Amino acid sequence: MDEHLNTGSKFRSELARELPIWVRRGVVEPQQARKLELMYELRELEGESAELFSRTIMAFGGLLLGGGVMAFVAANWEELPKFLKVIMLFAALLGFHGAGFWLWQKRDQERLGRSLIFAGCLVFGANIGLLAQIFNIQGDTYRGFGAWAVGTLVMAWAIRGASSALLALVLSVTWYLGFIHAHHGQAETDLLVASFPVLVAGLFGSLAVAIPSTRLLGGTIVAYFIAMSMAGTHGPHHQSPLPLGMTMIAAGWSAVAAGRLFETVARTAAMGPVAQALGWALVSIVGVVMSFMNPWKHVGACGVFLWLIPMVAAAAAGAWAMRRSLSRKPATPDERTQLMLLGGSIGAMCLALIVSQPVISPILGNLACLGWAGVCLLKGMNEANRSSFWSGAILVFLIIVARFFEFDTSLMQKSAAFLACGVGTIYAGIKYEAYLRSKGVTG
Amino acid sequence: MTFGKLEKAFAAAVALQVLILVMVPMQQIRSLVIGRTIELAVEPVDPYSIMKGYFVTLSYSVCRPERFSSRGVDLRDGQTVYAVVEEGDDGLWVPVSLMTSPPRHLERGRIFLKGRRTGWRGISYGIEEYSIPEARRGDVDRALRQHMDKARVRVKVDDEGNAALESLIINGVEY
Repeated sequence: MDEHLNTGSKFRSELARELPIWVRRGVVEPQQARKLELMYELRELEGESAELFSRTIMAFGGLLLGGGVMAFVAANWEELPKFLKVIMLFAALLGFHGAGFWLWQKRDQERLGRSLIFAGCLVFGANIGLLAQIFNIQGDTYRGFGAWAVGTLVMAWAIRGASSALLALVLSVTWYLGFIHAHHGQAETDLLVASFPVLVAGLFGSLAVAIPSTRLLGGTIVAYFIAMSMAGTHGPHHQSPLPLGMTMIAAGWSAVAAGRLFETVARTAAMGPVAQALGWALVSIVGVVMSFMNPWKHVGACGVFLWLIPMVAAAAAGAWAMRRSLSRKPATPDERTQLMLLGGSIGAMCLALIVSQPVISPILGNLACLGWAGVCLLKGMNEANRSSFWSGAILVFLIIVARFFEFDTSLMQKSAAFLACGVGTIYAGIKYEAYLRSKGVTG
Repeated sequence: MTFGKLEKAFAAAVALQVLILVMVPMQQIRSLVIGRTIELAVEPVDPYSIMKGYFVTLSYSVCRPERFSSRGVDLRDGQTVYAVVEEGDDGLWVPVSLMTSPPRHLERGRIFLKGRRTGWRGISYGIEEYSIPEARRGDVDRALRQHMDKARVRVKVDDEGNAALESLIINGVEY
C-alpha cells in the first residue's frame, strides 16, 4: 500500500462505513467508490481485524507467560547459583533485543519491535545493577548510570530510536551530575564541565536531527541548558553573576539561532519553533532575574575562567547558525527589526553582567526584558503567530508585576497593578484578534 | 539506512551492551577465580542503594591508615595505595604497612591489597559493600547486632592486589 496514504485501521474502517452512504447520496460514483475500495484495501479490513484480534490474544498470553516466568525466577532468585543468574540476565537482554528486531524487520511490526528494543535497554540497565549485586561490586552509583547511558545511546544511534535516546539523555545527565558531585574540586571535573555541553549537543542534538524527533531535540536543549548552567556555577566565583548569566545567555542565544537554522531546512522545519521557544524562555528567565535590584547588591569577584570555554563556544555556534540561516533564508525587513531588537537585548544583558552595578544593571535587565518581549510581539504581529504574541505580552506583564512586588508598595497599588495588567491583557487580546481578522487569519 | 547497515549497527549496539555487562564484574570474577583467600574482621552499617538493593556497608582495620606501622606515608584523596597484610593468630588478617607503589618483595605469609584513599572512609578496597538478599535482611541485622565482634568477611585477592568479596560470615554462619 502507498506509504503516503492514511493506512490506519480506524480511518479505513470509517471510510468503509461512509463510502456506501456517499454512493447512495450521489457524492461519488460507484466506479470511484470501487477505486477507493481498492486503493485503501477496504475488503481486507475484516481479515485484518480477525488477525489483530488473534495477535492481541497471543500478545496477552505472551505477557501472562512472561510474567509467570519472571515471577518464578524472582521467587527462586536467591537460590540460583551465580552463573545461572548471569546466564538469565544475558538471555533476557538478548531475548528482548532479538524479539524486538525480529518483529520490526521480519514481521513489519515496527512500533512493537521498537518498544521491545527500548525494554531491552531498560533490561540492560537493570542487568548492570543486578551484576553489581551478584558480585558485590562496590562503587559510585553514577558509574552504573554512565555505563547504562553509553550502551543505550549506541543502541539509539543504531536504530534511530527517539525513546532510547531520551533514556540515554536522562542517564547521561544523571551520570554527569553524579560525576561532578563525586569529583568536586578535581581537575578531571573541569574538563568534563567545559566539554559536556558540546557533547550533549553533538551526540543527542545530531541524533534528534537525524531521526528527526522534536521531543528528543527539546530534551537535548534542556540537558544542554543544565550543562551550561553547571559550567556557569562551577568553581569559586564568590557570588559573581557574570559566569552563570553569560553562559545562560549564550545557551539561549545558540538555541534561538539553531531554531532559525532548523526552520530553513524542510526536514527539520518542525523542530525550529521548539528550539526558539526554549531559547527564548531561558533568556527571558535570566532577564527577569536580572531585572531585580537585589541580586546586584552582593556581587563578588569572578576568579575562574573555565566557563568562558563553553560560553564562547555556544556564542560562536549561535553566530554561525544565525549566519548560515540568514544565507539560506534572508531576513525580511520585519524580521530584520526583530533581529536588531534581539541583538540589542542580548547586548544589554551582557553589559549589565559586565558592569554588575546595583543601579545600572537592573535598568539594563528591564530594558533587555522589554526588548525580548518586543521581539515576540513583533513576531506575533508579523507572522500572525499567537504563541509569540502572548509570550511577549506575558513577559511585559511579568516585568510590570515584578516591580510592584520588588518595591514596598501598598496593597492598593498592587491591586491597581494587577487590575491594569488584567485589563491590558484583555485589551491586547481583543486588539490582536481584530488585527489578525483584518489580515484574514482565522482559527 | 539500508537493511544491511541497520542490521550491522543493531548487532554492534547489542554486542557493545553485552561487552559492557561482561566488563562490569570482570575484575571480581578474576579475583574470585585465581585469588588467595583472606579473612578480615568487620564493622557494619546499613544504608540503602537504589542501584544495588539492600547491602551492608563494611569497614575493616585496613581501611584506617593509622592502624598501619608506616604512618609517615602522606596520602592525598583519590590516591592509589597498597596495603600489606599478614595473617594473625586467630586467622584474621591484620594491617602491616602502607605503600604508594606495589610491593616488589613480600615476606612469606604476607599479601597486599590495592586500595584508594577516600575522604571519610579512609582507604577503600572495593570490598566495603555486601549485598544482602531482602528475605535475609532481618536475619543479618539481628546477627550483626548480637555478634558484632564475630563478624568477618572472606575475601579473594589476586596477584595485583584486587580484592573481591566472597562471603560475609557472622558467628560462623555464612551469608
